[in-house]
Amino acid sequence: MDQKRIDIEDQIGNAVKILSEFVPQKTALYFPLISSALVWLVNRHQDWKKSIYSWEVWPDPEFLRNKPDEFILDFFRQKDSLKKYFSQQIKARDMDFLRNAFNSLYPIFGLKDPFLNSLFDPEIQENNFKTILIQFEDRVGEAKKTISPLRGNKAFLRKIGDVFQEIAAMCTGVLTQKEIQEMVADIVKEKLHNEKK
Amino acid sequence: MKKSKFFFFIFLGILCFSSCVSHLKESKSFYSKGTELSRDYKKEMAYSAFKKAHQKASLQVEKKPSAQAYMMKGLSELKMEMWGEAERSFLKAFDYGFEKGEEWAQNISLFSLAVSMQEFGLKESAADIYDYLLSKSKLKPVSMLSVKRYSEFAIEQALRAEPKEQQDLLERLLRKVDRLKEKDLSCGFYHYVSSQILSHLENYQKSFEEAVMARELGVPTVEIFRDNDNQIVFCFRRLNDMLNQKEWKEFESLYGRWTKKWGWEGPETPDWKRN
Repeated sequence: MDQKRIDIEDQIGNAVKILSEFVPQKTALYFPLISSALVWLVNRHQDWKKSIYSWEVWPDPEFLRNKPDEFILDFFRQKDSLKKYFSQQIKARDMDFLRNAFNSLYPIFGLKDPFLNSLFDPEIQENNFKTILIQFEDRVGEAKKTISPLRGNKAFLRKIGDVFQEIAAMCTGVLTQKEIQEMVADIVKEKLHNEKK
Repeated sequence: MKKSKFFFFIFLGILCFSSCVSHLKESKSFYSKGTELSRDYKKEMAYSAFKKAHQKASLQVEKKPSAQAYMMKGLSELKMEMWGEAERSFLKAFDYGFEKGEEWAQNISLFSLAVSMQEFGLKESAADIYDYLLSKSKLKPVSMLSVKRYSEFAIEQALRAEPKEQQDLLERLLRKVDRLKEKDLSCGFYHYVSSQILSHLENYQKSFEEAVMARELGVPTVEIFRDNDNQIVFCFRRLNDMLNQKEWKEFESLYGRWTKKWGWEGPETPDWKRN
């Protein structure tokens, strides 16, 4: 691993530490928070501070959710893991079941929403669709609630801002969105592991 | 002494006037920046720009209220979905001589009423209002939001209906959207909605054409942009199954030209799926 990557990892670790001062006991939620902020950095948004300020604009999907049956079936058939997991429902054309599952899974796998991808990263890695379906609304709701108090918290923004600035200087053009997400995931997992101990 | 006092007040007056002018100017500039950023799908940054536009317009309203200042305030509030505030601002703009202000305020008031009704479970009454607004509203954001909400309702109803009735409901909805497209052919969002309805009607060729139009003209959010790309890919797959060899060859070559233009890696891999 090159030095630059190690430096970036250190800085992400710092960001996690800062977050834990402001939202203790909510470690699992750090991942999407930092991850989506870093995605903005990787995409070279100069205005990352404004992006953080505007967390109140929750990325509500505004696409038309009511899709034809064939579109829904096609979505489940195109991804091997989904096809395998939902094979019975696909075969039986159980559209009530599939339509319900589609509402939670399509923004994650179909639209690749970065925040939802971060929020459900462990489940995505393990193809744990059942947990996603069961916990989708609660976890999204909880994430919204937890993030809201950070909005406009000047002390938090100042502290985290310094760290992000460091990361921005180091990682522009070096890492991809995926790599950043993996890095943050590893750090948060490690932190979770240590907390359990 | 008197002379210097006189110049001091003149200077103060100019300063005050220029700061008022600059608030309005800044508000307009932030607003157009926000619109530009929205077009580039930088939603969060666009929101910040609209917020700034709102702050500046509010300052202007405090210092020197005018129809323009209230209109800017109302427009930025509209972008931030602050319905009540936007309605009040447009009414104020009307008081100061902006003729459309009253009508805009009424449109917003109706829209927020429909949103509340929908939240309370009065779906059909809300849908009636959206239906009225999508054809009558002169305020584009309101007609766009109304067409989105009305389409969700109408499609949901169609999905529950028997096949014949389903066809009728969808065709009726399509005609409504077509009328909107006739009024504003350059609105990518209307083409997106049209493409979605055509997909329900299993007219994949036309659905594809509308989705291409939507992509070329631009849609309001990145989610819609991606959903529209997924629709393009879906039409590609469906047409592959449905067209005869000659028709498929023609379509495939047309499809290839578009995806090449958009920089896709393959026929089913939009650029944003690479990561």
